[in-house]
Amino acid sequence: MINTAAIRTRVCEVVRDSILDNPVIARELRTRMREWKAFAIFGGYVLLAAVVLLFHYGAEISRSSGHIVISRSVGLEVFRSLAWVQAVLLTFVLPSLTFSSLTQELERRTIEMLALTRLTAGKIVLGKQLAGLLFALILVICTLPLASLCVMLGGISPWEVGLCYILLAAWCYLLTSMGVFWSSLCTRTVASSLLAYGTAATYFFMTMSMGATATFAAGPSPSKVYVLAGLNPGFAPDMCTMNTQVYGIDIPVWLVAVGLHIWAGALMLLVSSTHVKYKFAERALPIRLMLIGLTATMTWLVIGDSTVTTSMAQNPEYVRGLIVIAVGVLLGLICLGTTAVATGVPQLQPSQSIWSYALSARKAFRTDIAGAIVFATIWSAVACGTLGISLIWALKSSFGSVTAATASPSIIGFIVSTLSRLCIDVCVISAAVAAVGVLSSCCAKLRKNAAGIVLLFTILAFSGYMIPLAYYVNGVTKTNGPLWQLAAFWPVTPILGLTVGWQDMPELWWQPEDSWMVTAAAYLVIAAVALWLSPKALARYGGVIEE
Amino acid sequence: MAIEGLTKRFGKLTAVDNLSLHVEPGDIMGFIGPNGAGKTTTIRIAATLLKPDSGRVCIEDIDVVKDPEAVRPLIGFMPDFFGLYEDVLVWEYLDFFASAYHIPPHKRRRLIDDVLELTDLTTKRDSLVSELSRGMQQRLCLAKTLVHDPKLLLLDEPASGLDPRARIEIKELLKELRRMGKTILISSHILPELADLCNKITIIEQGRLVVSGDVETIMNQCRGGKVLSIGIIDRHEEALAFLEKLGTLCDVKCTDGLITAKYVGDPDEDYMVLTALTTNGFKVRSFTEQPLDLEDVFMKVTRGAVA
Repeated sequence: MINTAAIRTRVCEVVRDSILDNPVIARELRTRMREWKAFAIFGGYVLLAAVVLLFHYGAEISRSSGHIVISRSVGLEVFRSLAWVQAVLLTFVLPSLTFSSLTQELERRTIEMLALTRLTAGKIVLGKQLAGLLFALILVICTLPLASLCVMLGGISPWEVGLCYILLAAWCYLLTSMGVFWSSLCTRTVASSLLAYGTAATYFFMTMSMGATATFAAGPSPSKVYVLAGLNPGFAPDMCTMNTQVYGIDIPVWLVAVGLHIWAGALMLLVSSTHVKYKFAERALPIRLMLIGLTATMTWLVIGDSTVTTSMAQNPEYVRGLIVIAVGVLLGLICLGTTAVATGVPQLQPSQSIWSYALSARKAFRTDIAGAIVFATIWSAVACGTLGISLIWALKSSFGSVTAATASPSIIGFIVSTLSRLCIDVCVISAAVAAVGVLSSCCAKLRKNAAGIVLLFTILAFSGYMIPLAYYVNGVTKTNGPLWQLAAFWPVTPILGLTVGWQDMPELWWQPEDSWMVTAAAYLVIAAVALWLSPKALARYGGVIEE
Repeated sequence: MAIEGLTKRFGKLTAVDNLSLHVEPGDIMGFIGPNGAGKTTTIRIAATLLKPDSGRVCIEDIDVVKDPEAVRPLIGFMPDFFGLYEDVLVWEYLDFFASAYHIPPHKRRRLIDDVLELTDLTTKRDSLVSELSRGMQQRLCLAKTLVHDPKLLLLDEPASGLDPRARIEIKELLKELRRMGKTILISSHILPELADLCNKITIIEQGRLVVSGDVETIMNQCRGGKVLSIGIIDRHEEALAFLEKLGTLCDVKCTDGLITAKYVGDPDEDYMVLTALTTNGFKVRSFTEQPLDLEDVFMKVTRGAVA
């Protein structure tokens, strides 16, 4: 029997402690609202939105034979421009609200006194983010009178306006979390501001192009759009009424966008809370589980989208291409993520064997570089597993509607056999990257240097493929040339070998379809050598130090 | 607070080298050493902000490395160089820290008034922190370290960079804290600052403990005998020769009519010197034991290797 009263009391306690009685929020809001800048931002924001609205309204009005003609949906048209203005302005304003939140504490040297209080790292981070978010929400709410004007003009309902504002709020939540995230990782405000603006702008343009492609591809009045089309709040007025079809199930696009933004924001806040100086917070378990969950959910959603499923069912070749891209992207993302979890302070005891330390399954969800290898393997396995299940599920779900032949057992068999082999490769490669992370953590004094070494290794591994490709493009093909045999170390080789074949490529010393074994063996050797060298490097260089 | 075998290295530099130290409840321990002796490093380790390479620091039997979060409410730390939130009012600044130490809202107002009164900042209650003078900011920082009523105060050079008046004000404040029964570890390289404040002193140099104990005991140890100061009206040369022949004095010197000499005889029979002088017809104007201050102790025990 669940004790609801106890849960309610606990929730109330948490809300009171972390939000209502959080001194960080009070201080941030007090200082922010005391400055004239805050009101200048409010004024400028609303003014700009109103001006754009007015101009658009003017443009919508046409005159015919002395009469003013206004379209019935003029409210929607005008509201579109309001959403765009807000999306652009918020992307400009939001990072600035939080990017200096923690770096400024470091630069002003107030972090020490803050750390010595009873405030937890989570409460500090949440306080910083919520202070930014509340300010942003006030900004957004300030434009509600303009939005209600649009409702009166017709074409958009109050419910739709409400949904658009929920999307804008989720955008605020994501970008303020992103600001805190970079602020916790950097030591200088200059660096955190550049990174916060860089990622915000990249994400804005990425989601904008996704939304635009989906909108234009779907025709003038689409009923179903691509699952990730609604991430950019600029498209909110159109997307808030639309659904997406995932495995035949209708899901509102706005719900996907809000869910993903909240998830990603929470993940960034969790990571930030582990990077508050002088405050220790062990959150590897929730962070790593959320990371695995996010990867799996994104894979599931993207593969299951009706547009992908339809193309897959119509053309078996599409499945091969999809596997190449999906496995390549997953591999790249997992290698990058592994870089973050595989670098840190080596906690290898002098008498302990490196194998028992680095391959300890108990540490897979702990903040210890030893856990990285097992974690990378689990992450890769779940990601590849989800990809396989999604592909098969997608084919099955479109089985009745499109040609039955394409969903034949042979395609399913191909997916199972290809992905199970590639899964082994992805697991081994990411585990090897983690092992290189352990080794570089044993060599470098600073964590960022260790991370640099791992990144260099990953980039070299992926870009190694480019060298002979350059030869090849220039017409210098040495069939069976020894340089080509380095292809064993290039993570993409097994993917190409198993899916699209080797076609015009020069000969390898092994069968291209056996590349998955050769590459796996090569990376196993790299991992073993890295681990074998780790204790020696640690004894010689001392490894990453805490400060 | 107990520090045992504490060692901290920064690269090749050993900042603190096998340091052991005990501070009993109610002690005001002066932590003295030249610049770069390792005072700040030791205090920062005790304040849970640095991790030692070896050795341990316990506050109320809690290890600062193993359980820093349990130690933090017990200590009030004031760094030598600190930052303040300059864009808030003085009471807001204190309210922020009171709230951060989980002091319930209904108690905060009273508490803030109390610490403001103690630090003599009541009139500045509604001023912006940035408008305060350096001395006032220092007192505000001290007020902040007191809001959660810590048992142990770790003060790292609390009077550094202050003008003489502000220095005296801080000193008065510390005396008040001593009367309140707080345990304080206070570091400084300026010795007179601590002379009449501390009941114990610890002197470190190059990260190593030089001497530690009661102020009185250390002074007596360093003295190695009393220094007498004798004022004689005339016949200085004769008196000098007479005193040298006595056998209980050495290092006899005469400057501006004042004779100083180190007494090496029986500590309780130093009056015999005076008797001998008067019976031999010397006109003695004054006969005193020269006081030895902390500065002399410091110069005596340290070799100045760092400074």
